Amino acid sequence: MNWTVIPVARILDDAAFRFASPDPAKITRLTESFRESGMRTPVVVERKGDGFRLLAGFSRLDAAREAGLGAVPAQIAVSGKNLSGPFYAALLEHRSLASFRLFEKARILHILGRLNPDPALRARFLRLLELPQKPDLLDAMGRLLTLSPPLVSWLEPFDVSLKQASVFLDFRRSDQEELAILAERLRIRPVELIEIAVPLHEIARRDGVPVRMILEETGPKNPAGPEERRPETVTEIRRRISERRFPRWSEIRSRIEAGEKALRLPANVRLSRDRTLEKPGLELQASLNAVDDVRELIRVLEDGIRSESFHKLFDLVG
Amino acid sequence: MSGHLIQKIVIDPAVEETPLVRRILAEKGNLPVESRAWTSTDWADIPLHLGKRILYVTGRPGGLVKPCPATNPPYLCCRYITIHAMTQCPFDCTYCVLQGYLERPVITLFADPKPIFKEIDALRRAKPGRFFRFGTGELADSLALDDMTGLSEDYLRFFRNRRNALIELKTKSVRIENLPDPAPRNAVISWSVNPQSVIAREELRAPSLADRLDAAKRCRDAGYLIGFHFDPVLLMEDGEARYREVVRQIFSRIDPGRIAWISLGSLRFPAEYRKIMQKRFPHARILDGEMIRGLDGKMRYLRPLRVEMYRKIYGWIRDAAPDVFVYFCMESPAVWNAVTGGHPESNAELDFRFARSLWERFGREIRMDEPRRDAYRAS
Repeated sequence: MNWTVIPVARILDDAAFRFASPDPAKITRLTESFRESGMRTPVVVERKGDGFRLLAGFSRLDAAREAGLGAVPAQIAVSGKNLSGPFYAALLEHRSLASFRLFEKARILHILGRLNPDPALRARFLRLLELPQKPDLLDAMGRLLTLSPPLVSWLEPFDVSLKQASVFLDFRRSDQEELAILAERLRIRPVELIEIAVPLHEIARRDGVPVRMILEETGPKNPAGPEERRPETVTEIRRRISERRFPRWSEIRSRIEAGEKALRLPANVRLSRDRTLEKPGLELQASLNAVDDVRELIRVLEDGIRSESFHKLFDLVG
Repeated sequence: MSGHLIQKIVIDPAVEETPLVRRILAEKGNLPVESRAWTSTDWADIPLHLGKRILYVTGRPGGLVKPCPATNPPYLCCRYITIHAMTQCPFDCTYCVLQGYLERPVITLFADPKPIFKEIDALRRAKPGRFFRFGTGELADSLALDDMTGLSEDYLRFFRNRRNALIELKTKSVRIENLPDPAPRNAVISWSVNPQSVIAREELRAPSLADRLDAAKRCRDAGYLIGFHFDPVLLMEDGEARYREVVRQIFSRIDPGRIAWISLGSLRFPAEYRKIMQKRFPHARILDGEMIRGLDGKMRYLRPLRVEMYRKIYGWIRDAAPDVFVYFCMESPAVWNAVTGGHPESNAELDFRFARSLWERFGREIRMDEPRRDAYRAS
């Protein structure tokens, strides 16, 4: 490859080889460095028409533009030849600084689809990306690129797995955008959004209504301004969605909770049960430090029997 | 003829000369036939809905008689013995676990029943005090292709002379033409039943409820014992009225005195099959129910909801048929208690109760010895 200096203005705004989202902090650091001591590491380009198309060095070019550089050092990949080699070299360089994230891998696979490297080089690409040669998995990675850009921008900084990100493929793009807005607003992590999104999708499918409409009923109740993340807000939203998804279960759970409350157990006694109700019965845990604690426990249990509170409870959990 | 269910027959050359294959070739009509031995890579790319239209006849030396896969404790199972003479089913039910359970998408029929018969006799000899219930309808429909395969005749002939054993042919079909009339002993023909609205929506290509019950009545008139399986019971709007109507229709056609047993089992499936069902039937509503992951890892309706529906169906059945043996398939002791007021202590106890009921009601007819509890203790 030739080394030369090319005018920044002749580098096209073409993101065909861009696999990583712009990282503002990195660009700021590079900009400061370029202003102080200039740009030393070349970008990689190919000739395209009268200009150049960038193959590698997107952050550096962004920073060079930000720093007001008129020209940058560049390696020019020979046009017309297979660009897989230079692209592989660029990925190797990236890998030496950071491992690839999920959406970066998906974009690289998309680029490889255009480059069509020979099988041996393709295998090396996949090894570099730490991906097995499984067509189903590679297809699933490809489908991630159909997710709506706002959702991708929200997900990308997190270390999400393919399985997690694929959950959102079940949603319409407009619903994906609603979920991204909700996640931003609640400042939750992807796993928390998935816990909200899965039942939302099931309700939307069952009732034939858009996710947005369900979120209007069950989502944050304060539409104005960003909400501070408070755990009870997320818990409340999840509870409202769960009530909508499982109305009978919610009703039974409320009756059980009311029954437990009616027992008026002292603070040192705790009742628990199998959350699915498959394992019948209750477990009672008491911390007893004195004979009086035992007497108090017996009194409370006998009260529960007399008032039939236990009977009502065992009708539900027994 | 099963031509509408099957579109192609593939015959392994190794079994071309067997009587079963000759029978299939004689009954196949215009269906195309291919002669080749298939390996797992050959069917790897066949989607299930197409595989269900292909009948592959091959051989297998044995290992086709097994205890029902059942499920893990605390859920109770009846120690049924399954005969894997055929695997996969031409019907395509949205809820069917076979869509995740079976590796082969094609209907595979094992051509020689003799190794199966040997295994059945070996099992009977090993536990002479027990009464065994065998069935071919666990991994396939026992009768859906019977007009072409004639398998039922082989099995009924074999069981006719076996003491302390019976065969259940479990089906959704109405292919009863090959069943001998009058009925041989030691055979129960049973039907899976559901409200017609469920059949229309969830049991693709399967006959209607009315047709099933008409077929059951014809079998009963020929002297067969009949069984019914409310399985899976699905919770739905108006479910109560719909299931009540199914019970009414059954007893309007079939005398309870000829019903050997009725089972109840609500929708359940391994949690990991959910994706398969969603993918194959994106518009199916069965996954919309209020389900939890049970203690055996299977998804099922919340226990109070199951109990509520079972109590109703069980009550209607009991009103019409106080003596019929009614059992739950893969249900917990807590559910048995809530619905019937008691539960078998173990799978062995359930097996014993099953045998006891059969002996008390049909012991002489099906030539069984009085079951002794001690013979049912060992697994």
